[in-house]
Amino acid sequence: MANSAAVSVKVRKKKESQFSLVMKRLSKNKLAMAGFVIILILFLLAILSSWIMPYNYDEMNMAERFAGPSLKHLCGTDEMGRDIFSRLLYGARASLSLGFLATIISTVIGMAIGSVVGYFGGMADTVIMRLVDILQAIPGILLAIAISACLGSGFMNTVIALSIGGIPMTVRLLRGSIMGVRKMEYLEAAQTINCSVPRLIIKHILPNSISPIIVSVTMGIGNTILMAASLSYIGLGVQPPTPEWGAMLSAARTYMRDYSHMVLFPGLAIALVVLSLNMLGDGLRDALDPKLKK
Amino acid sequence: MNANKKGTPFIEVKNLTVHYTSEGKVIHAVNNVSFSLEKGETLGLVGETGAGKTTIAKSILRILPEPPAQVDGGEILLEGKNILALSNDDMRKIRGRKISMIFQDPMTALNPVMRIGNQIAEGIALHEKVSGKAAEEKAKKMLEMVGIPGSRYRDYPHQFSGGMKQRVVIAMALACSPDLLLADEPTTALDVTIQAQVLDIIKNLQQELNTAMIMITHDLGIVAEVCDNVAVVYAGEVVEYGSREEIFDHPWHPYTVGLFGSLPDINSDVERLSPIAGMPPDPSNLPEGCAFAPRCPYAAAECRKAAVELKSLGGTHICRCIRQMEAVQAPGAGHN
Amino acid sequence: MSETLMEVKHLKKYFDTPKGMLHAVDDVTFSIGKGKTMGVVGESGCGKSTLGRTLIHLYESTDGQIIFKGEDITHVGKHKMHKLREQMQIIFQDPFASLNPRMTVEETIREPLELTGKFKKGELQDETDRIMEMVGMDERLRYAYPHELDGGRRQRVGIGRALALNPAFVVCDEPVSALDVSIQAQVLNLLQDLQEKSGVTYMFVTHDLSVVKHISDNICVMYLGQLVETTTSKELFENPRHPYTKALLSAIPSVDIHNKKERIILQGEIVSPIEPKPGCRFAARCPYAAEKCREPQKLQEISRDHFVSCCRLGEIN
Repeated sequence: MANSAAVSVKVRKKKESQFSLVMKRLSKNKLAMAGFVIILILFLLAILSSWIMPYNYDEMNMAERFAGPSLKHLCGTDEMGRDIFSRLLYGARASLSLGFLATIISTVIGMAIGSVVGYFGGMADTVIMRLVDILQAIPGILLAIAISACLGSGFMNTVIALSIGGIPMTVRLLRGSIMGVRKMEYLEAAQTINCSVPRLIIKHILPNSISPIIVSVTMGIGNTILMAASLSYIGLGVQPPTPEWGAMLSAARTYMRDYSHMVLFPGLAIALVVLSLNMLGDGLRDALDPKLKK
Repeated sequence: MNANKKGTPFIEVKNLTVHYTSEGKVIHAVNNVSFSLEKGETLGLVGETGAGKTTIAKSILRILPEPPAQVDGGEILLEGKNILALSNDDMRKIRGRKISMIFQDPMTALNPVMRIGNQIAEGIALHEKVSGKAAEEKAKKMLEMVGIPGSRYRDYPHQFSGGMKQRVVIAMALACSPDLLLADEPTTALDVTIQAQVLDIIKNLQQELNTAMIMITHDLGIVAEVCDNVAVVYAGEVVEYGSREEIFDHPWHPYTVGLFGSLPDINSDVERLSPIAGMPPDPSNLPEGCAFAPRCPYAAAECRKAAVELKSLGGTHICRCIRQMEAVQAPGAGHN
Repeated sequence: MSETLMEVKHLKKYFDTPKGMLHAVDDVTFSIGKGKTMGVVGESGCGKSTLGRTLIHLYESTDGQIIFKGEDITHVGKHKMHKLREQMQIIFQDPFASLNPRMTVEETIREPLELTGKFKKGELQDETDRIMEMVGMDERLRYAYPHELDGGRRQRVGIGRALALNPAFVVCDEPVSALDVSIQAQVLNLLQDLQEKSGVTYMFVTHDLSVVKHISDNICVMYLGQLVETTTSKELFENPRHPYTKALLSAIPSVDIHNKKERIILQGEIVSPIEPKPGCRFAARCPYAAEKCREPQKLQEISRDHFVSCCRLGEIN
């Protein structure tokens, strides 16, 4: 058999994992990389905030209340004379970890339920999907308010309140995606070579149905941060004096008319995170498609 | 070819060249293709996936997506008039009325939310400027012509089987009695017995309406059934052209010979097929010289040097091969 | 006929659909000799793919018997099924859908070897290499992903996966119909070579009669779930007896332009296989249909190894 390969197939010397292939494709996308870099920098700033912030986040200075942006206070000060820039830096800790943690928890739970429901179908599918319907019928913010009102405020409780609302979305997304993959012949092929059900799900189904989830996670984090902000806004969620972007925004609301810098900077911070995550998510969506050539 | 029979042939394609641009790569889909066709005749375009057959048909109908496709040169003369130079408005008058096309997949060629009768009548009303009533009459007649009772005029596509849908598509294509019919693998999606039915209908209608037809297919059996002339296409080039008898009785180009050797024939017993080695070339990276040389058992150094010209073999038979004498004398080449 | 490997008796497979019972395979009986190739031909929706999948237990049969190597395997437990599956494999039609897009060539071929547990770590790689060579996969392509390959090469990977454990019986479900003619011939030759070497038995499901004639020893012709005729390949093409077989054979476009055969053009449409009426399902399109065709038909042996299911056989031939 002549193998005079006329069609150019890329010859690899060693196996390239799916992860490295995706990263390679992602690195070609400038917008996505920009988003990725911004997120990384924000994380770094959040971690280092204790050392790099010019003032302590709760250091009050009544003499300089409502000061506008200046060299002394880069983003001005708030109603108690606290430095907004320092509060933003430190607040990134709470906001980012809330956003990431809650989204990851809801995704893991959602994926476990989604893959079982999607693979087995039948009665379990009907029952769980109706429950998911009920959960999804309640507006997300209302659900989060209700849960955190029950559990009380505090960081972990807020994480729980925010993650429960995200579960139905993940379940639905993964279930749909698995349904699309389930008819593929390579699953039948796996069955004929005695592939066990867990292996079938982990090795053959999930890798081929997970890309919409990964994309929705990146987009979801931004959404969760906004949600957390809303919770803080109405006094639930992370409690003062711990700075959190949403809480800062809500506190500044009263002074919006006269001291707009107080809303502007926390708002910009949230917008920046959401925007970079969306850029990253868009790029990931393309990079995760196995059919795309590099 | 048959150009000198009556002066201007009905349709003549001259040196057509088309390329696509995709992800920065240039794909040479059609390279310097020429052929001509008279009314009532059928030309078979044979070749494998990606050989450029469909691109040729789409260029004639001027429905290539531009970009990424671009016609680089050549002329398509319909009754002596170059349709590549026509304005979009003028072209619209030709499409459907003078030239129409049957696509491969009948499932996607019909609008699923429109009654099939209306889909046929729409084209008639558009091109023949007749009243709705008259168009409906004609559409019903067309349906009956392809063997579907006129009473099914108000049915939706999903109420039909695959074979019936393809017949509806044929009725649509022939509704305005076009002078040229482009049939792109019209029966590939169909079962053999239905295929026989559909080919039969196409052939009868063609004779009745004296339509010229270009039949695009990868199936040499279908070519043998319906075509008068055959053009074998490889990597965007016509590598061999001739009448059906010339091609089937004396295939000259090693690729044509290879195609016959790859085919399990129902009428003869061979223990092993003799396939063409290797794979079709990457159209974005065509080899120097003869595109078939890397797979050709008779290739010599000179084949890889320069582009090969078409040479006449007598009659209408032409072939693009410089080693044809050696190739034909080799054992296993004389197919029939 | 040589030693029998697979015997099927009155096999039925029905699917419960919202519109009613779909009779995909209805009372099919035949047997396949060891090391032979049984071709199953028929048009889309005739149940030929379902038949293949039912034989290797991808679908549970509704009724009837499947006997493999002299043993009734119609209903088997999970443990036994695992053993059986190593001996019964399938090659799929669509080389695009049948390979996991996230697994490399090597991983796909190695998976069945890993799962059987018969190979030690060190042996796995050697065995994988051996199979890649066997199916003509260039070893440079070991780390390629399916979307980087053309149809022919993908199909080779699918064949490698199916034949990795040296099965006794392989269902080939239209393995070449998605491929170009020249590539199709390469894959057909490969399948034949592998059969010669390993003595594997094929059930070759296809709608392409030229292919089936080329590769099969025996042929079953199916129409809407029913077996209408079965005999040796030679006999079927020389002496077809069922009106459907005749029409089918006459419909194949032949490259022989000088000996045109009489074409039988069928009229009428295919009836639905959902809750069909008893009797011959071809009757609606059959030029010889009569009143008694509405009664259930019996498969009768008209000569040695030639079975036909038609009650008007005596009158029309």
